[in-house]
Amino acid sequence: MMQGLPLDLIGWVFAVTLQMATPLVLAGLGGMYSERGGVVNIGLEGMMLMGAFTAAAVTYYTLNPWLGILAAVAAGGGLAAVHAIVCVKFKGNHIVSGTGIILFGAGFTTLMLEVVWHRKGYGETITNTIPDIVIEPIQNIPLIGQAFGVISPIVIFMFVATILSWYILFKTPFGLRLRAAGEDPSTLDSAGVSVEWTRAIGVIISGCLAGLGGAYLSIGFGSAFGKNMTDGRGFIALAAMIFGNWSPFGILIAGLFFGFLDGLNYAIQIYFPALLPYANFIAMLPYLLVVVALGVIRRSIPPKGIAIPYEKERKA
Amino acid sequence: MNASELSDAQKSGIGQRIENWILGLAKKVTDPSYRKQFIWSFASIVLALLVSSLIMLIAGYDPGLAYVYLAIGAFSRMDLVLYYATPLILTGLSVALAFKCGLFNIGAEGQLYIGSMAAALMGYLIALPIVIHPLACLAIGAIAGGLWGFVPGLLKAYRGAHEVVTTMMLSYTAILLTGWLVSSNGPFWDGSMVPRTPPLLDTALLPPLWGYSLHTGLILSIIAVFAVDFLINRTVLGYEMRAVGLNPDAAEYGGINSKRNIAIAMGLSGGLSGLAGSEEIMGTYGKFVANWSPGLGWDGITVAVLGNNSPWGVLAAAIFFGGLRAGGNTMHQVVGVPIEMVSVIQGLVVLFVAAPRIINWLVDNGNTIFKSMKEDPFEPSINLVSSILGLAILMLGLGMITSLYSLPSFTWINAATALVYVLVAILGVMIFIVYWSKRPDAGWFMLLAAVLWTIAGVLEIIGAGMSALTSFILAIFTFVLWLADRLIGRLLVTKKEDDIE
Amino acid sequence: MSSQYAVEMINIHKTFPGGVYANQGVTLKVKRGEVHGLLGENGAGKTTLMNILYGLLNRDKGEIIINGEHVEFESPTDAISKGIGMVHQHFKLIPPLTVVENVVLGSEPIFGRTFGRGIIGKIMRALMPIDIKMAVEKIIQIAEENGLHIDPYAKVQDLSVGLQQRIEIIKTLYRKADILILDEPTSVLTPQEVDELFETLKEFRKAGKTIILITHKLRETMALCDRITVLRDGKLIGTVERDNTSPEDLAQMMVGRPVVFMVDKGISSPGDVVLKVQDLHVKDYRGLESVKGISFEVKAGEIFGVAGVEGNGQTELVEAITGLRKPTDGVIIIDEVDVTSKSPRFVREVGMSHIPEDRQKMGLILAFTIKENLILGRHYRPPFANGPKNMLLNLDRINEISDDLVSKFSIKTSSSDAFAETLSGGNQQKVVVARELAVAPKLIVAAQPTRGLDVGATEFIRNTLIKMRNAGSAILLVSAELDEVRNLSDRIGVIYDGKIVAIRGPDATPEELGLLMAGHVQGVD
Repeated sequence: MMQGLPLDLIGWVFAVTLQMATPLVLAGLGGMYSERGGVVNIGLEGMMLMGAFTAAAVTYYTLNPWLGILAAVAAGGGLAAVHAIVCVKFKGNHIVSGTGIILFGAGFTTLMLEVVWHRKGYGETITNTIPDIVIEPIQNIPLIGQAFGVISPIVIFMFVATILSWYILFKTPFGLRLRAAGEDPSTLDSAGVSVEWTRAIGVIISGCLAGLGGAYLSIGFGSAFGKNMTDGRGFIALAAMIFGNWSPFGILIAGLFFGFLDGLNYAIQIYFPALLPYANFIAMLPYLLVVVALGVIRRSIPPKGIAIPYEKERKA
Repeated sequence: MNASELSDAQKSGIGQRIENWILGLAKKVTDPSYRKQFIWSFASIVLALLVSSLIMLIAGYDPGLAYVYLAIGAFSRMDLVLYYATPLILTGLSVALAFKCGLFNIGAEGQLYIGSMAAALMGYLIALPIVIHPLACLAIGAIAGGLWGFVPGLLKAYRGAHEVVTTMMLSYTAILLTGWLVSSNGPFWDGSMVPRTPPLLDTALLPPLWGYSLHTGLILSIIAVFAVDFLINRTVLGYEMRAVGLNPDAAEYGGINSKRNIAIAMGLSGGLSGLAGSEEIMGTYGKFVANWSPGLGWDGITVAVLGNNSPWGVLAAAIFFGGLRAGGNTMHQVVGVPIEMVSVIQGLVVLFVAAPRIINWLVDNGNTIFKSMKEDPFEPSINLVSSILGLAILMLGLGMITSLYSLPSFTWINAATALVYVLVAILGVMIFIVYWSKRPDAGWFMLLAAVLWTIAGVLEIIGAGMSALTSFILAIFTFVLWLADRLIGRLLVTKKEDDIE
Repeated sequence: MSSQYAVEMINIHKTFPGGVYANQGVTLKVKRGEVHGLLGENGAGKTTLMNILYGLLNRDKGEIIINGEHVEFESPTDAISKGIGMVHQHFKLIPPLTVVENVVLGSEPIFGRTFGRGIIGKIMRALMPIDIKMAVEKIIQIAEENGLHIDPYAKVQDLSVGLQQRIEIIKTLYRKADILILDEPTSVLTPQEVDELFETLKEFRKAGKTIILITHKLRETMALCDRITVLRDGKLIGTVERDNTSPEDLAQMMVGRPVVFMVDKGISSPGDVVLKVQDLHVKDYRGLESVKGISFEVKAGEIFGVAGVEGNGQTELVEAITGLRKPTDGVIIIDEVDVTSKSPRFVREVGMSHIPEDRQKMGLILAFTIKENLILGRHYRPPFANGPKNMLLNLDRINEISDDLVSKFSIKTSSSDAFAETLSGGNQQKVVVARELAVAPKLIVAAQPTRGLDVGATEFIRNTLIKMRNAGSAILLVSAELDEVRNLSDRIGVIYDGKIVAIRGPDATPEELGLLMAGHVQGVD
């Protein structure tokens, strides 16, 4: 292994980077839809878990991974709908509700893990995972061959989703309304658009994307559902969203960067065993980097109306 | 008049002071806003238990039995309840104190790890006499945790870095860092198979208090409740923190240095979490083990939320969660419900606490239904019966899904049936909502339910299921209710038109 | 078939959650093609009534008839479809977005608009690209037809207040409104901009549009309106023809008793200089310089008024003096102590009191009790604090002193333990004033001290300020109400574009001050 060309190594890191970045970018884009509309969504973690579990369970029963993906998107969206009802309809505290979503998501999926597979920790291995797409012509190109030659459709969708999100956010009526709902809901209201629906749809899209990100973990990149398998990725996605300044391409870049750090970590563990004792420090790197970046680099500016429930019937 | 009374009280010693304090407490308890808060919290718990029973139905457990054993478990082992509550009180206070200053300390878990690590080091590396040794350990634990919270506080105050992100990131950092320190590569490893430190010296341990596991840390936790209450309500620092938390602009206008207060609040909050960790290491574990915490810091958030960020509320909420956990063990052992059910319940409690208006909505609409019942019993009774039927449909739909698990083979037909039942369950919730809030378009939901039940019945027959009869009976029942609703609707419309003419 | 009225609102009732009556049986009838004034004091229920007409609020009771047709508005969309447009007092614009994005929000033109009316069509319409080009063309066309020139691609945050109002008007025209509601449109404009606005409105009237003008200013009502409806305390007082009434009559209808236009304050006897500002430069929150070299002095026992249209640097000037914002250049001296760039607490220690322009945002902590609010700013020292290093709150003394203040300033409340948010606007301001003036300050900085208050509270606060002046405090009064500045001040400084352009005595005429406020300084200085 050690005598492998550095070019191969770099290509391998690229491939891992893409794999690690996909759930982050998808969930990060999800967070963007929610927060651009003015609803804080720290519950991404719970929604990802929900997606990961549902994808695995449905694929396990139906043997069809595509149904699994659909169900994961629906489950993530469903949990997000609860968040939307609490935050938008009943004007609850966004952060408190998000905490509830995380707790519920983690507890419910672990509970159902035992119910479905009758065991603890990890569910049964799923054989029918999402098949990778093999693109022959680029498979042997150095550097990118490994990353793009054999690629999961969900990874491709990550790039599509980024471009699509940019288009939706900045070019369509819905995007304009969503941004308005996040910046100044009373203006949107007075323009005759329902603030509640706009925000709620944003939150639900957010859950769908997070659910998809979770599904990638259990039936795309991995092949089983494990207890708390998202392992804090929902929060990293949130950080990627803040890093990416609430914009689709920013989130893509931030997500890829975090993915790259992960890839680097694996590369070091596999190719440089001498560094293994310090694996914990390499794993720490992304977290510390976020803290340093937030502390040193100029602060990012969230949408103005964020986390403030919109009350229509308030005396001016 | 009032003023002179008060100054009299001031003169006449401690007895009078205590009396005043009790009077003040009594006034607070009887205050409507506090009572409302209490009712909200209580109702949230009830609703969460109701929804949890639905989830148990899906999972194929008997919720009634589970709750009975949950209660038995909690009440028969009060020592265990208090044992679980002990660290939760402190982490809850930690999160609540930060909340009072407008900060969301989501990283209590990391502060807890750092604090417990520091306390463990103090406990096994340095020999000190009894009494002094545990106190020194606690102090060093609190300081270490406090520093771990102070850093994000500083970053928030002076660099505007959002504390939710920084505390969270530092939390992961702390877990990884302490994990390395006690790993085979780290300096404090005890040489065993497990990544952990050598045991603490006996002088550093907290003595047991009651039963097998409860230790003296409980007393410390309760003292902390008093201390935080005093800090928040009786000191200048507490006043300033609350001002910064409620209106930073006004605080600055009033000459309060909000940056300083933010940093201090985060430091104190981290200190309380560090204390919680130290207590657990010194009272329960006896050594630092990598990844030892079962999410005490996270549960602190839940506890603070349920306790409405007031110290006494935190105490009550921590004991409640302790009860859930202690009872959860019994529930797990006897009924076989996985222990994770407890965190589902916690999550639901938090969700309901987040939106007190859900309870308002239920109560208000319930009131209107019962009020109009007196004037004109027909229409509201239909609403009431329909809403209850909606809930029944929800339960039955979920129950039916579990009956499908037990079929010998899981075919496509069964999957389709399950899907129909899921839809039926969702429809059940919607029926409840539309009828409870007396929306005019409510009738059509009943018709839809009738159709769905019919489909489900047919599918059950094809797929050789066992619940075909139930489905058809429900289909008929919902159809009749739809008819009744339409009929009365018609009658009312014509009656109103008569009135107008 | 259709009546002569464009708008009929009959017997409208509205109560806000919490039991505040905003409208009680109000009836408003507006003829087609007229300018109708809706006159009343702050809090009389004018805006609420119009928000109901515009579909933003639901009414509890009453009927709305538009052009002879009974209507039920669920949301502003329904009102817009009936040709109603509203220009809110606080503009409904989103600063980081461009003009065209703001105008089209809610009725965006899209490419290929042949989708069904069903839910699928709705989703498709929301996800098609916005036809920005078409929108821009339409905006330019509207702008040219009405003389409302604007750059459609500019960001709203870079535009002046007058231009922002123009966007609001274009917004209503873009939605083809023929019934226009304008809520206090002149409060942020210079007299010249007001004239321009009135010309535009007169053009609209000629074009057959119906205009409802919400205002509390008599001069404007008399200048522009054909008929006037007066509200007081949420009730209808009456509707009159402009030609059959006088400003005095209207004023009496508005407040329910003859208005005292002048306060008798006696002659000032200025003492030593208390506040000295020299060549002060301050940047606003966007980093733009908004105070551009201001110098003045305020002496003990005098009221120095700063008159000017809002947004000319007053806010930043006050914030610099009170320590809330660091100036980029210049010196501020209070009572011979240099307080430039010092913290608010330091400035307060020197003897400054501050009545802020926004009591809810800055002056009060609404979720605190009255008691807790009454100690804000002096909570850290005796008598409110005691114990080692003054670390503890002295609750007994706090109770005593706050009960005393509540009665002295006649703050209407059930107890001083009530939360500040339960108080009315006037009583909230009284809490601020009580707190700030209880300590006999050397310098009082009062920014918009009577904004949004009823007549009684306004008089109380003005009299209190004069009492403080006579007791020897130096007072810096910043107000957008020219009448208030003229009534109270011993000297008036006019601020325009971040500079004091002139200092006049109290006998300056409103016309002269108005010209100065609009920046016409040639030949005067």
